[in-house]
Amino acid sequence: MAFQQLYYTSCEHGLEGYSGYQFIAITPGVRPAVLREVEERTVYEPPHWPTGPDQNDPEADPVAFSYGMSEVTGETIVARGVSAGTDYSGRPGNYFVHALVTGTPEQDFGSLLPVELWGAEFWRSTPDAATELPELSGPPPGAIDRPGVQAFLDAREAEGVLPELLTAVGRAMAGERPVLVVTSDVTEIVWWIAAVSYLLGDRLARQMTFTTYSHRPGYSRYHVTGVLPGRLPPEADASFQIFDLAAGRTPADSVHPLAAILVSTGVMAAPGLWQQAAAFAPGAEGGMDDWLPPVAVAAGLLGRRLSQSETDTVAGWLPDAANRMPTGLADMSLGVALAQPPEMLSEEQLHELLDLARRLPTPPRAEALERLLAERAIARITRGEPAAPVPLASPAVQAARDLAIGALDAASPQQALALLKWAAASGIALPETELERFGRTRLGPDIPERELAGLVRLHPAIRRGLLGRLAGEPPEVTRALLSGPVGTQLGEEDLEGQPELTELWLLESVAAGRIRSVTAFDRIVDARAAVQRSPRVDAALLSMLWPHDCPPDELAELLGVLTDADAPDVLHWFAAQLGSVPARGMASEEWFALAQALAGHQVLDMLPEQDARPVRNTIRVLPLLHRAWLEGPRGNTDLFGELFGEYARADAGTRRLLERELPRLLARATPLGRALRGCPGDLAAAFCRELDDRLAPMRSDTALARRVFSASGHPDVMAQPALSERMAAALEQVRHWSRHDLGALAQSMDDDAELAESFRKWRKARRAEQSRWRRGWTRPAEPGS
Amino acid sequence: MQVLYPFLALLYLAYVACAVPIGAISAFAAYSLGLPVAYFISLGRVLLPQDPEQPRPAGPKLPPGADPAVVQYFYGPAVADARHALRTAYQDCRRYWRWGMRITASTLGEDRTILTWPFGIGTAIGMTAGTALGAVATAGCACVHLLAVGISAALVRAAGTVLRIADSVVLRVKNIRMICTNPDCYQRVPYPGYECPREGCPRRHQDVRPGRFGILRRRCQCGEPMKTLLLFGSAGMSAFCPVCGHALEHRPGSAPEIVLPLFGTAGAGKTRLLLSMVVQLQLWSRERSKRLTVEFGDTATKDRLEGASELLSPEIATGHTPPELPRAYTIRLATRKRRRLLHMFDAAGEFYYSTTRIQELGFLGQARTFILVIDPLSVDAFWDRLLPEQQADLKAVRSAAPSPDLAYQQAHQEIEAMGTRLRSARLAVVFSRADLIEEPAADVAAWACGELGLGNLVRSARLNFSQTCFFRTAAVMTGGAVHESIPALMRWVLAGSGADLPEESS
Repeated sequence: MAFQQLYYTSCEHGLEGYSGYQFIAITPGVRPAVLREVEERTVYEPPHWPTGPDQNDPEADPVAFSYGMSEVTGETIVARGVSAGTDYSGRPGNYFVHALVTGTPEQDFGSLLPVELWGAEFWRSTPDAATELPELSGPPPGAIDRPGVQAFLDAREAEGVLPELLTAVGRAMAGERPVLVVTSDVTEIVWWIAAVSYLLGDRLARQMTFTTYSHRPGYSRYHVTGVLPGRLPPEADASFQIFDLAAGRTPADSVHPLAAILVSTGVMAAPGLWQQAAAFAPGAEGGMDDWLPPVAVAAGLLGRRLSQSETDTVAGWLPDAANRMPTGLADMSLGVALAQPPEMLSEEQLHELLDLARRLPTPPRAEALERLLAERAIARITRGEPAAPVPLASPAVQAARDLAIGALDAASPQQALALLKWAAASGIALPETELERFGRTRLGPDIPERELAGLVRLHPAIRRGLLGRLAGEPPEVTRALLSGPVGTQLGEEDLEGQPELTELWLLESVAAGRIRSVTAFDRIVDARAAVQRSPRVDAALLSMLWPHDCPPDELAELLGVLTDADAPDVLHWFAAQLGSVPARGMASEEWFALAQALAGHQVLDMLPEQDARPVRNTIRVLPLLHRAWLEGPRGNTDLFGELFGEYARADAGTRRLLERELPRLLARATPLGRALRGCPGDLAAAFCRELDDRLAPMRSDTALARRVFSASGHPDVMAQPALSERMAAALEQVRHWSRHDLGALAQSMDDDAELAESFRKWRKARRAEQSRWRRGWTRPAEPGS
Repeated sequence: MQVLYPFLALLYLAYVACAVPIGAISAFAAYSLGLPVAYFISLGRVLLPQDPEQPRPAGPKLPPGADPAVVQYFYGPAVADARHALRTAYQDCRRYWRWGMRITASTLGEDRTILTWPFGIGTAIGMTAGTALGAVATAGCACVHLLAVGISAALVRAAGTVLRIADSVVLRVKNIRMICTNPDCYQRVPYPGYECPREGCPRRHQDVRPGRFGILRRRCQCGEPMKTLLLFGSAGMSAFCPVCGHALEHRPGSAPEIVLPLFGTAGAGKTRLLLSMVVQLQLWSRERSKRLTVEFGDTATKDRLEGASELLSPEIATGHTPPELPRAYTIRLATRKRRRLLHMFDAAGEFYYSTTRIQELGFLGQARTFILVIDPLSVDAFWDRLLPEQQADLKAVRSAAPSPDLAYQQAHQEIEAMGTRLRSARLAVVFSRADLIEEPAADVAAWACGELGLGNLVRSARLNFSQTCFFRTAAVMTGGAVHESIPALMRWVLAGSGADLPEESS
């Protein structure tokens, strides 16, 4: 294949068979659609209205050198239109177009760029006699070459305009507004276009369409169009990117990073850069944005230092692009990114590059990245900033370990905590000796508890170090520390071999509720025994373990460790605990068990008589109370008689115990009337208070109400007028019960017809009294009246 | 004590008897009035936001490609506001209700329950009744609001439609039909698009007529107000063709447009005739400055025709028109009462040699008057009858175009194919170079039939067009005046178009 040639002008006899504008010679085989398009694209009009041969010099008119692609056939069209003065009829305004058309531009242009055909010798400005033109293959270059363009740019100090122009052309090629270059000399325009072509490289330059001159730029279909001053269409700013080089005006838009790289590379070095970039290009690159990363990598390889935005672009592009290029090239690209100053890469980018380095795999790059990330993370931590963990899997871990140890020595507690956490999350195992040293030398009571607890939680070696230091601190200081969050982080295995600290820790654990007192007691006693410390039990220890009342079950358990040799202070403690028994609640199984444990226990003999007597009374009463609790509801009411007898004989403390416990037990007793036989007055009063409470409308104890109603007519109760009256008064509350509760009470008596009838009458009598009161005839009888 | 209890009980009963109604009335008033008030407060917050930066409720979603203008309030935002106000009012009322419930509950659950429960009971009763009444009142207010919004929206839309119709009627009455004068388009423009008048704002509005973006005015997204109708002066803004997007610099819509194509073979003298017509208009304008004003309609016309008079010298040959789709030369004609936009199209003669190329000249389908230009010297029958010395003199100016029959026949068929009813169209057949050829004894049509041998063309023209007139013109300027044939041609061409040209006597 080769270029097809076409000549077009106004003539009397052309290929169309009429006079006027027409093709006068073509290479055979050009398609009619291409002819039409060439005719449309190459219309030429001189800048000024032609007025005749004398007034116009065609040589002075601009040359319209254009390069474009047919919108119909896709064929490439290169054309050169020149003013031709007058036509066959003597009319001015004629022009001559020499056009080249090819469907295989890659082959036909060879190494030439379209703009390099400017000024080539094969261009014709006048027609030949022949109407059939030969194909043109391997056209020679014209007047444009790289040194010439470089010289042109140097002469014009183009550094300011060229990046902008290049950016604008890139945008136009991406579908944005086309570029109009305004200058009075069309030759100058072609040099600018050449500069842009050379900088854009082969692939992009062949996609860039241009014309050096258009008499109607408002309708131009090229990416770059040359315009003479004063020929700009109205509202051109809205439709074009205008570079008025004559007036020094540019759109002043931002420069694309690729344009900046290319311009800084220069026209002469651009081929090398593009050759290198093509190796990194996966092949789907379209516009400047696509080409930026591979070109930036190539520029980096050629020794250019990348800017921040270029580095960001490369780092963002590489992880994905590396999948589409050979490993060696990906490794080189990665090397370019890593060759930039480390601060230009964000941690996120470094992590992505690390993933890539591992994926390739390139161990040295991965190690470098790991080291970089570790250094950066440790630096962040020492600045008090958060740092993401770095999964280290290369020899960089040793360097990171050393860095971490070094940083630990100078770190504040908070930073040390963050550092240790980061190291653990990053898989860095710090040496135990260093950690123990850190715990011993850097940690202590002066550090805020929360940070200290966090630090000791991280590693046993740190705990060991800290405890080693605490062993030399005053006990109160240690105790204060162990009572806080630090204590919660310790275990017995940490305290092994340090009995004093163990005892302190157990005491503080009991105080904090983390461990039972009796368990701590056992361990302390064992620990003291292990180190032959005496005494094993003392009142101070017991008081610290049970600062308040000792629960009955634990008290019963402690009785087992008492020996004859125990110091008086221990006995006093026991006496105090047992002495407080009457004042405490008695209804539990634990109290019963304690009473059993105390019965016949030597401790009673060891106690002074004034302390032992109430305890003995209590020990005697407690089993009876326990039985009354269990058997009272089952009909064994004789026990209450015994208890009433104990009440009569008891000391004041035991009486208080019985007054507190018995009313509740009586309320459970069945039959109540018999249980109340011989009830002492004070106890009866206490019982009635219990009734007042439990028969109130809010509680509505139906079962108790039935028992009380039944008991109120019992002879043993009737025999005690005070008790009887108070019971009746308490029963009066039933009157205020809700209808539902009253119904339930009545229903509960259904099994005893006599009782039920009696209750019905009682209710009726109370209702009648109520009605009369409501009608104002009489007042209700006062309770007991 | 026995006396005190009943007294206290009575006192308590009296207290209860007062507290319950007080609580009920207060709560009733608070809720029956409070709920509508809450609605109006919410409405006020929505319609009159205190913080201008506060985001407005989301309005209607615009389709892709919609004009970059702010949606008119009653074309969506009003409904969105109403919906938002209702939602806000509902939430406020709920909060208000819960607040009341908490107050009421607290009166029944505190230590002083014995004193507060009557108020609590009363408040509960009052709240219930008040809320019921308040809800009804609020619903009524909301209905009125929604009804007002609906009626307003309907009225606004109706007003928009009426204004659009009025504008269309005015355009029809004024006989204003707009076309795009740009190459590659030539389409009839139902309504021009306009660029935002704010300097530096690149937004373009495809259809500014009353509608969802405004009735009397619309607001560009940059905040600049824009007029919506030619009636209101939108023609003052920068227009563009909504079809091709190119600028319409001549302010379409401000005056009826006259489309005047000149056609004929290459070298027939079309461009020169056009130049002479323009110069004649300028001369009339100069002579009768108060009665007729002639201005160039756009920059391209001005650049091209500003020095037209200089080009009409007999010594100067007119340049060959390049074979590209022509852009109209637009002239603005204004008399005391009337204004007209005259679009003259001068396509290269090469276009008329083939039907496919004529089809590209879409402006032919928009015209009602045509000018066919014929160079008599190009007709072989006439040329052959000239004396040799005459031929020698005229050879330099003779065009070597094909027969004018060809251009005419192909053109009139394509014009008809473009939808133009030739039976209502007019055709001026102009024979150029009258200054070089002797005046015929017979009238022009007879001369064309007899001496030029164009009888077929003459008969066909008379048959196809409603009016056909034949002229011999000389597009030259001598002594500061255009040849007398040009005014006559122009009077006939522009007759009936409303352009008030000077009478022949003047």
